[in-house]
Amino acid sequence: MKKLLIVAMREFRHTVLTKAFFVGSVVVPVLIVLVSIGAGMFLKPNIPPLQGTLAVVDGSDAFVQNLQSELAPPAATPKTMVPNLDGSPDDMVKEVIEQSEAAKAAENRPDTSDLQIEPHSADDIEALKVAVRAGEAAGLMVVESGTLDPNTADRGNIAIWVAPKAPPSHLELIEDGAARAAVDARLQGLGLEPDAVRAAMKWPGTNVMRLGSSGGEKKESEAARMLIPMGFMMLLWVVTFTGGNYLMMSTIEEKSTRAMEVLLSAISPTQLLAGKIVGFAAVSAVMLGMYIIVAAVVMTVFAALDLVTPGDLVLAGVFFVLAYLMVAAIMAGIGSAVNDITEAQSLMGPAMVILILPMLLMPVVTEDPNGTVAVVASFVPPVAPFVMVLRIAASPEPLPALELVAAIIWIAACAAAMIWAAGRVFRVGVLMQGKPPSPLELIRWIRYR
Amino acid sequence: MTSDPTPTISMRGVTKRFGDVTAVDAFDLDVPPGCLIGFLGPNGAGKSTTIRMIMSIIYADHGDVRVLGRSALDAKDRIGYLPEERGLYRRMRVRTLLRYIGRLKGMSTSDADGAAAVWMDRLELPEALPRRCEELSKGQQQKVQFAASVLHEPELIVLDEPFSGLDPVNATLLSSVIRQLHDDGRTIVFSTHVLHQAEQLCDRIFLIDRGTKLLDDDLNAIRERFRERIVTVDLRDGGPLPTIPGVDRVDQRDEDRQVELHLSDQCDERAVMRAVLDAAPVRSVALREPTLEEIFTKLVQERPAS
Repeated sequence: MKKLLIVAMREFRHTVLTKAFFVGSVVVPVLIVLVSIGAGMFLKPNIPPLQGTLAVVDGSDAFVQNLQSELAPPAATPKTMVPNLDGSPDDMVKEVIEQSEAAKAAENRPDTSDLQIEPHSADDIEALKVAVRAGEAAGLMVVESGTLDPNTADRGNIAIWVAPKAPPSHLELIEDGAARAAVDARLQGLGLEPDAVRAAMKWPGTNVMRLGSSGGEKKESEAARMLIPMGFMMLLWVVTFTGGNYLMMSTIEEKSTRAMEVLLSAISPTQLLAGKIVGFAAVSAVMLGMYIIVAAVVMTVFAALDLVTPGDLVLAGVFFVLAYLMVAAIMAGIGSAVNDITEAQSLMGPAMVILILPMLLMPVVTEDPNGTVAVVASFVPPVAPFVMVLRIAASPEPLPALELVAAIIWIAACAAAMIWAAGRVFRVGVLMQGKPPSPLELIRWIRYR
Repeated sequence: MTSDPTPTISMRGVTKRFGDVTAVDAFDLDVPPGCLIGFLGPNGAGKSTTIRMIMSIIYADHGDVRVLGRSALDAKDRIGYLPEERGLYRRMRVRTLLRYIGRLKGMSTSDADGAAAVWMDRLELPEALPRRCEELSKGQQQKVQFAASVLHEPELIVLDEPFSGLDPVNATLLSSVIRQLHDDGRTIVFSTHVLHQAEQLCDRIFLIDRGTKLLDDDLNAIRERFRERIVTVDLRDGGPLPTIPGVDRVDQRDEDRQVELHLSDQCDERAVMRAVLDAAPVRSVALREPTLEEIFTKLVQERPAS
């Protein structure tokens, strides 16, 4: 046990207390966030003003007036990125997204303070095209017959010509403005006030309450239903695979530098493997802790901490350990069987195909956490612990206790069997050099005395 | 030497196969305490496999291996091992590496650090302690690895090809350290395929070829057993020597300038040497015994081909 801990401590210190770990786990994520924010703040597009004359042919007076108001510079509105903290998490997420999109749209809107809308007859079309091509007019718009008629089923069409060098932001503004001006003209033709209609068309908010089967009710949250399970599973996946990958790389290093035989003269392969598994479990736990702190801060900002119960966290912790053991067994087996990282990649392919399955199952499991697919997948190693975490996070009600206990016992037994098999492969593989083994040889290694 | 009668290493009927290849074939071996034994044999003879079984890195298919009176696995902390395949953590500093190995061998951190300093000093490489292993030359790395194998004052030291890669000066230094360890009463198993090294260092020889034991005895007893008198003659002008009474066989070497006369059991070697001096002008005449290499070659050649 003491030797196991010495190995574990060595692996932990030589992984966590390194520049590479600090850079990979802290500096890179922080840099990504800072660069994203910095790019948003400082890399603003240089949008030229939309100015001059926009000619409109065959448009009604109402259409021209509507277009004028649509393309006029918007009144300045105070910008805010702070959500209303009194709302539900869903409302806050929606509010932040809407504010963000509105702010982005305002930033990308060209200045139209020197733009004039002028009605023209169809006879002017060719001359206007020449003027637009030469940059003497901002654009030409021809409203086809019937487009503004509110009583026709045809959606109509508005043809638009712009200058050769007109930027996409100009096109977008003119197109959207023309479409909205046409719709408003139709509403006005029906005797309706467009602003009143838009106000009437606003979707009401919904407040879904899920009734508990044994009484009580709980507010249903889209964020909880989709984001929390996805977050849980991604966290589990990233952390277990990072820990497993460190384990594989460390084994390959010891094998390729021939340090392995020195180690095996001091400890048994089982002790060595166990020490590595414990050491890199601690590395994974450090990473998990860091990500959980970040997640807790984000969830606190969005007042969403109550979406995750302590019970869920304990169960997720149990399945984290089991998932890590399974991934560690696979990675240790691969690391001990190969001579270098290139060979490892060829064996990683099939393993990754299996381990990517939880990602593929995510939509099915989150939609129906107690469905047949979800329940069956909960008992199929090595995807079982990942699916269980998904189910725990996605299920509106706690999973049946019996099913939970059965899954934990079964997955623990499977993890133990995988660790045992990995230990057998490890024992033989770490001393082998040369061609990597075939799957049949790997099975033979498991059966070696 | 200690008077403990229990063999430091005891192997009984040990067999190890890798697929269809029998690396070690049902042999017995007893290594007495305090002995410096040479495991000799050509490449692929089974030396490293035997050593790995002694170290419980691999396990025998059949038979029993006991080290220091117990299962090999339980005796790891009392054994020092320098493997044939040298290997160090490239980016680890020498001090940290030696501390890690020492800790794995049951030492405290301070004891391991102290022993590391002593041993690196003894191996004339104290400046290497704060350096990374990858910054050291191959010979320096080998010294570090030797230090790692003896750091914890083991009772049994197993050295697999300890001189490979060392220059003559460092080979001499290592050789003297091995002798000192032997003088301190440690049991040393020393594997090599360079037989004259074993001849200079060992007091017991274990000869193995194709997994089979050919010889297992004290060096003096082996010399006695394969005792033969050979007169080596360096002729000044070359050419064959006339027939000399008492000579069983004549081997010509070096374009007839070097001649070796294998004497019969009863003949007087001084009479033969006088006869040589009378027969032709010579640069030198010397009497010698067969080398270990000659004994080994003879034994291997006498074995039926597999």
